[in-house]
Amino acid sequence: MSDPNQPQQPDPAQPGPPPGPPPPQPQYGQQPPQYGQPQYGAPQYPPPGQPPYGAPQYPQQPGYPPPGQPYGGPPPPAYPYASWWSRVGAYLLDRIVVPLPGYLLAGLGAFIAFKDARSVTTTYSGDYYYDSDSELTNVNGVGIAIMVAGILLALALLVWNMVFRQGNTGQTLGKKWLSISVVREADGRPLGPGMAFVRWLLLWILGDLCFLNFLWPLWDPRHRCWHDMLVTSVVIKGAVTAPQ
Amino acid sequence: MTMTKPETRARSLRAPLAVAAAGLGAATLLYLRDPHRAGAYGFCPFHVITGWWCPGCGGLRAVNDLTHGDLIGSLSSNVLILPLVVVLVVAWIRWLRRRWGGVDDRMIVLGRSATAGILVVLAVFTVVRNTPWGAVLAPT
Repeated sequence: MSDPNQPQQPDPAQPGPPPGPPPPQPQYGQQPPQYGQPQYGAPQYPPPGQPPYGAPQYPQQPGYPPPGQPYGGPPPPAYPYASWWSRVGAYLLDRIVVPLPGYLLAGLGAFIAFKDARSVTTTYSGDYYYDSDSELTNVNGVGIAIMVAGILLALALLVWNMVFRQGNTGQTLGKKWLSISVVREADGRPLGPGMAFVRWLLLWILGDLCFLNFLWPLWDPRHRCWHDMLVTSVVIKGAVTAPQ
Repeated sequence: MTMTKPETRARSLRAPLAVAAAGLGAATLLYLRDPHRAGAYGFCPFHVITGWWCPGCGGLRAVNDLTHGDLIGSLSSNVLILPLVVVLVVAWIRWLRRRWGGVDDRMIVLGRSATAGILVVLAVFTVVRNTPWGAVLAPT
């Protein structure tokens, strides 16, 4: 809905200090500027309540703050944050499409296992007792094995995708297909498998809680869910430019 | 100095109008299909699993009460919904005016303190409405 990525140039009429602190990682300054922001990757949040560039900007634009900066809101973001829709799409792809081979295999196994099975109920009864016993017979053991293999395959695909792929490259397959990635906010690098696992676990534990967690990027200044805040990650447009 | 071209303005107003349409559509749906009937929209998973009221429980009923003009009923279903609706309407009007003026920002952006405040209010509300003393805050 918004466009927080508009380049915000200091007014040339007022030569002030250069925008933001110098980037802590020099190699990022050498990346070609991809999003129209010269210091992409280097977070440059000035202390709250302080105008971003030192120079007063309101007199030049009476009535309107510069675009991309809400009234009294936070300073302009340092990252091109991913849209909410792309994150929802990537989430669904990662949950449904990526582990799909495993689900299909499990379904095939279940079909084979129980195709010819039947339930036999034996009833015992006498003057003072009544009991019954149900038993599944003729279950295909190979089908059970295929079913278990399918479940394990789905689990392996999920772990590989969410923990290792996302941790090492910043992108699950769903994020890659939708051209977004998750990075550490401090330096714009991929999270690493450990933090990617923690982030995934938090997403699991937090769930959506009345949809609030899933909706939170809509009004967070840096488009974060709670599990982003807890591991200090952000989700940005494009691929990580400098994977480790 | 800031002249907004008509086509730019039309594009800027698309998002507020979509949000308004979604909100009115949801209110209409809740008016037509009464959430007071148990299970009309499914069940709250939190309530099903734990037996406790989540902060959103009673929210759909509260909106339905509002569409009938029943303020007291709305407050007794979920006391947060009426203030929330008022805040959203005010925020939407201000957002529309900003977008009309050529500022393409988001409807609501919550800073750190607002985020913390909202989460604390929700947590306290959740605890209180599940205690015997706070039963007045439970959905009716």
